[in-house]
Amino acid sequence: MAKVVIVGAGFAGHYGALILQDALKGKGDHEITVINRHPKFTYIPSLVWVGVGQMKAEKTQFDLKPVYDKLGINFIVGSVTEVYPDDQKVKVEFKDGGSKEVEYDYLMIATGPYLNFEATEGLGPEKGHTSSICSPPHATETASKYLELVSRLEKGDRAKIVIGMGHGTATCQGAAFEYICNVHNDLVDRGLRDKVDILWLSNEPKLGDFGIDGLEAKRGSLIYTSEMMAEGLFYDYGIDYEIQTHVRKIDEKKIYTENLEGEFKEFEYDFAMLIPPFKAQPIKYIDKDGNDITSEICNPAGFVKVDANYGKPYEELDGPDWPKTYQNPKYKNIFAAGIAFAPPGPLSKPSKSPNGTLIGPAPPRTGYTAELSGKAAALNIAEMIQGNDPIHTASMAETPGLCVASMKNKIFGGMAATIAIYPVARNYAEYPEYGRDLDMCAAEIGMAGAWFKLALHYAFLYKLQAKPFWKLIP
Amino acid sequence: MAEQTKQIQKKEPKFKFSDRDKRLMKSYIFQLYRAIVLGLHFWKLVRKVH
Repeated sequence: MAKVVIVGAGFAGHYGALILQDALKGKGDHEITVINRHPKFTYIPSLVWVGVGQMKAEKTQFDLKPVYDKLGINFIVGSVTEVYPDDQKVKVEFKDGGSKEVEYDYLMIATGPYLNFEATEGLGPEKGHTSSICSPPHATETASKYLELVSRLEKGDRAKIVIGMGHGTATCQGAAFEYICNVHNDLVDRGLRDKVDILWLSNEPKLGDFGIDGLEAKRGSLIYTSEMMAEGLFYDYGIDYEIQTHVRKIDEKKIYTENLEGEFKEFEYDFAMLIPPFKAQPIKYIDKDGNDITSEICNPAGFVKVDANYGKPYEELDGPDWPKTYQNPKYKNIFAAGIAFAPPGPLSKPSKSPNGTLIGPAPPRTGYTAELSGKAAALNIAEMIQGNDPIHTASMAETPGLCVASMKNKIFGGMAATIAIYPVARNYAEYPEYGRDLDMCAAEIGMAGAWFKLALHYAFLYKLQAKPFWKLIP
Repeated sequence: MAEQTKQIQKKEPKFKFSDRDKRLMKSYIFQLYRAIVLGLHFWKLVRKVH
């Protein structure tokens, strides 16, 4: 009997648990344990609607325990703080101060990100002055602040709104892009848009980069880019933008920035939603002699090293360097998926300002990409339990990126950008011209996207609750 | 470190959506057609990895 511990129950961890349980069905009496900090799963992509007060946070969540009870998976609500790879056990700490050790034969780390608001002075809703839509409580609080601003606008006030990235190395530009578009359209619907100046503040090297080095798609004889799409859209929406920008600090009235040209700027704001940079959840790795070996297992940000080619400069990084099986090279029974795995480098070009400040998005590996890596890791664990080598792969240089960026959440008259790229990480070894197969890439704005976005919300929540025929939903 | 406040400069886009583009984005019939085309496209990509 094999014991598998999965740390984290987001897209990678939870979907990995479902896939692993299914793969091991009828193949022995194995034990799967999921350890998560929260008792609920959250469908993060819909938090953008929570942040504008158009959806309650509860509509994006479900309780994990009933799902795991149904499937015979153990579930522990707690935080894994230490991993003992030689002794094959993890230490779980509980909110009441207690702790316990859980043994494993195979371990999947899929913790999701630690929201590193501390990276920028004054960033974040707890110790800072800005809002966030990265968690259900944050998105709910953001909605009340936004609606408070709306009531001030209704009384005749004017306001400045800043939305974007809260640090030069932050990622998840897509979420902020969705939020700025939803805020714009909500204000238009309320007849208040002319009372507001909206600014997009981002660390992207070019508009529409989204942390994935942008995208190109064929549109008749034209090569249509995400930069064109974002420029055209912001022009129509009357949204100003400042890109290639690092946020240095934020006080109650102003956001202080530095850009790639080394210019220091200040932007006044009445309401700001800025995405923080991510780092790994704080987990220590301790060897059999009690030594802290975290730096051997993880990269400096705490993300777990897997089967990638690390250490190459951005210019030399190519498709084959991206991880395939998500297996740790030192401890073969440890896998990492979703945001928890250490990428070999960024997807977007990083740069430094003349003052030496690094400005460049970290690579996003959320949503569908996280799910695919979680699935590959889970299937590889199932293979190893049966005495085989890990053969399942989901390299970001061989898998598609599918994204529907909401702009206005309505069935009739809604709007979203439907984006498909193949592969996510440019793979010049395979596709010499663009690093991607442009016949497989798409970028389109329209009402159809809004239908997709809503359909995905319900389809994913259905699938991830392992309801009948869940496996038919990819 | 001297702070400086600069006016946000209006940028002229290299690309603008035409009136036809905007009409099609909101046309129910065209968007129904695009939903089918994009749905099939998504399905083709998803089948590569599932």
